Amino acid sequence: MPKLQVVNRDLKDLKVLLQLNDAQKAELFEAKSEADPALSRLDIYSSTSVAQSSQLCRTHQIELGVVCQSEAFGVFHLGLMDLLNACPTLKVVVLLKDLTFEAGSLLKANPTVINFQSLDKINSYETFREVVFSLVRASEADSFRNDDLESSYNLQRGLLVGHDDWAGKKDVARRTTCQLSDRFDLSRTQLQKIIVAENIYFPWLQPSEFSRLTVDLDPNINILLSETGSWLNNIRAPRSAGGFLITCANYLAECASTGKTAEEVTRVFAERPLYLKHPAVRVILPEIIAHALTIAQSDGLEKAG
Amino acid sequence: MATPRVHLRILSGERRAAERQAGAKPLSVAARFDDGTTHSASLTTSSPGTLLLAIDGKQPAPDARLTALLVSDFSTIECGKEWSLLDRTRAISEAIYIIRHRDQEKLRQFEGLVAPEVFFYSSHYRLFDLETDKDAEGVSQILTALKDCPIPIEASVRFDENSIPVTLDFSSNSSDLSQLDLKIDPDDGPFFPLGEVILDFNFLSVRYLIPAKVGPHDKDFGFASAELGSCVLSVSGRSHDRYTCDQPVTVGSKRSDQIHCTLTEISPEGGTFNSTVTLPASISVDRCYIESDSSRVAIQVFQIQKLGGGVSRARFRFERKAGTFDARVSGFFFKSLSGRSVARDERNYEQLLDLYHATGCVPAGTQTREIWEDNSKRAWRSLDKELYGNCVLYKGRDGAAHFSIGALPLSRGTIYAHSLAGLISLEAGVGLSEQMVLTQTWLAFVPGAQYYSGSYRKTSKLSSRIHVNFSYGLEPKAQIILHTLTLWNPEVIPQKKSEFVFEFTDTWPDNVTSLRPDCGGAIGCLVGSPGLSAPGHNIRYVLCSRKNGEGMVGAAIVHHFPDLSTCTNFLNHSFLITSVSDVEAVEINSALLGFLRESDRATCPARASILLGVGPIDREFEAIASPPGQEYKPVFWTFTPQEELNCINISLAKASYNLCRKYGNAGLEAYAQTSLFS
Repeated sequence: MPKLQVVNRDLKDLKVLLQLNDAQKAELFEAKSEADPALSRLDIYSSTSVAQSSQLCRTHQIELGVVCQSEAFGVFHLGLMDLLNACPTLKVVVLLKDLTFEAGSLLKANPTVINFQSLDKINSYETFREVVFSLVRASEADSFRNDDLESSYNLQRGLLVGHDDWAGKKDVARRTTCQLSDRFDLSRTQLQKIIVAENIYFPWLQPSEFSRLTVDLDPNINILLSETGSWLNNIRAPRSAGGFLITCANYLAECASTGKTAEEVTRVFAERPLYLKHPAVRVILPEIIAHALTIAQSDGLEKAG
Repeated sequence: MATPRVHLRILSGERRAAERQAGAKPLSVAARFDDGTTHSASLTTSSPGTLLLAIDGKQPAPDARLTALLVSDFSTIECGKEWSLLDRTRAISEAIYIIRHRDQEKLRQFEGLVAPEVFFYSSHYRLFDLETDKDAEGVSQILTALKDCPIPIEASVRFDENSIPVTLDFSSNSSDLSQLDLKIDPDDGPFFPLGEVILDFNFLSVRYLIPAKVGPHDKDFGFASAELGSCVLSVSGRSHDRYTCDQPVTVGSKRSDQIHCTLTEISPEGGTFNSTVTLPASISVDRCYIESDSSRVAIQVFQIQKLGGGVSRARFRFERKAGTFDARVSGFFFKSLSGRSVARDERNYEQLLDLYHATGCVPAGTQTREIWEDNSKRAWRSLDKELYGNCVLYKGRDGAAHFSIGALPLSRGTIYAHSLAGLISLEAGVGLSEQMVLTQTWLAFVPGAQYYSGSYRKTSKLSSRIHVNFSYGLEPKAQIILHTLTLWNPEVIPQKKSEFVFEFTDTWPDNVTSLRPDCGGAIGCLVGSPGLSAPGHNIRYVLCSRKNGEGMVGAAIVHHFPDLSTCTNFLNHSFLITSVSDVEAVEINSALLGFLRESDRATCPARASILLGVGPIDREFEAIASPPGQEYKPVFWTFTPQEELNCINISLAKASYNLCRKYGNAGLEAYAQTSLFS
């Protein structure tokens, strides 16, 4: 029997701005996207001006935009800069009327412009949909290059000082996180945030310590870390599925390193200690535990102690 | 094999049992046979997926094979596809056929939960077979939408004859939706069943019934897991919404004193009132009346319940003479609405004018705002006096009108929804579906009205929102979609020498429909005087022929309403039906407008349409070069039979949901208060 599962995971919680000079077309695309199963879970907000776009981005925390050139490039570029200044977290695909070398060079120099194409590619709803997909793909590729990931590895290296036994475990925990993530309804962007948070997670750190470590990172990373549990004193329960996933992956890595059997770990999960007490624990079935431990142990992790 | 006599006796017993259990009168249908004959028959059902057809009187030929049941003008059950003939017994005066649904075994699971008559209409149910990829994908889409909805979805777990309320819980964030978590009230925990149940919930005007297997109660989280079975049944047959109200009323009859009650629910068919005094038994026997302010209407009380605390609840239906319009009933209905939705009347004319002004719904050629306002009010007063509730408004917290729509009888069988105007606001998003559903009530009030119609520019965002959202829901099968090329505020360009002649005719000639047989159904929705005409509405027909005597080339239906009856005079509309080439059709239309202008300047239409054809909304027609000074725009008209309004309302519910979603959780919480959410 075909499996029932969440659809369009990559579009989950994604909000896209469409700035088009043709108001009727922009609104029509927005309306059509609402009935399009391929774009379900994605919210499109249409606009016809920089001022309107800025307002929408601020109100709805929009992070991705398709911005179309509607006037001479010089004027358009100034407007685009205004928009990007007003909404520093916005990443855009620019659709140009005339794709010139000069225009390309100027846009390429701006790191928030993740792609630019010729405007004639958006003459129908179908082509608009393709542009949206390309935007989502480009944004995913782009987000994996972001600085947060690099910073989190640096932080991890610092935190490992004096905790040599955790070096191998963190490697296993990261892989386990990725492996278990398929069981959860996470977009790639969300997963990336979880991976960044997981890099910084250590069971002995308290939420207040996490917040000191993550000041320069995306605020969502700190939120995720504050939602994790810890088995060291068993006084903190995970408060979100993401927080649970991070705690669970690290706990499994710990169990694998101490040579616990799948049966023993399954028993712990069934007892629901506070550090695993979140409805997401119901997703981690015994066979998943066994599989995760097998992979962790076959990775050559040495028993600690 | 049993002898026919014995078999017939069994079947007759089953028929009577079916009639008893169905609790409704058997439905009169026409049974069509492969020898071309059609016989009157009565259709009954006692269980989902099994139909019993009885033909009394003149019997079909012995070897004739049953091919279809014409349940109504809009619904046909074809034998040999989803449904097939299982058994047949014939006697001299009676023949009984048992017809089974292909998935009857699956449908039997819903026995006692769904009125079996739902299965008479293919647009009222859909059975998703989760063993097929396409249906599993559809159900995955639905469940994902439930998961993403921030408003908790309440459901019932049904087993035996019990029901336990639960909430669907997605906090585990699992990507696997073949097992759902049900949050149980701790008090219900000990009674919660294990094993086979039916999960029953509503979402966006659709009821879903899902056979599931419940696992052990997880006391840590107060959950039970439900493993979904192999099918999902979605049902939607709601014809009219019930509106909650809180209105003091007086109920009485000849034999009882007047009782002061509170009207709590109202629909075009009837309602519910509560009373703190004991309701006399005579009230459910006698002819009663219900009175509010100055309106008094006849009702029949058919159910009295004791609610406890000394409160009794009575359900009633309006007593109306069949085939006539009773302005007291429609007036009582619209005056009883006590939410944000109100009928247009003198008290809110200014708010409506402000809304029309803000949304640009002002007719072309209006000289000044004052003149337009005065003329509008004059037109509305006359309309509202005769047809109170023909236009409704949705008011925001600020007291301003955020959304409005009207409905007027257009033709013999059609109610036309017009003058749709909405601000860009959360309250307009909430009002959109509620107001459109409210205008559908005119189908219940106007004698002979069967179709609910509307027209939309092909490039309209609204049409995209409300008419294509059928992807995974219940789809209208008998809805007619007519495509036209429409001229806005036509300027009559003097024709040098027209080669066409026109003449008025009192009745619509049937041979005109034969010019465009493809558009026959749509033409039928545009002709004929309504069972209740709006004041000043008239329909004229014009025949068009060539001067050279080659005969008729087309005809036009010309609707005229008094100025400003609709906000942009849209219903002052001519429809040209012709089979000539597109270029020539444009010529004829120009000449027709000239003729109309010459014959009666006042009745020259504000819109002039040429019928292109029927087909899906996205059907494309070859572009016609508009003559200078005239711009034809592609428009489509929907004519939805009353039996399929449920499908439109699902689409409306989704449209409002999507609009409100853009206002975040607060938006959805506001929308969740409306009846279309669940």
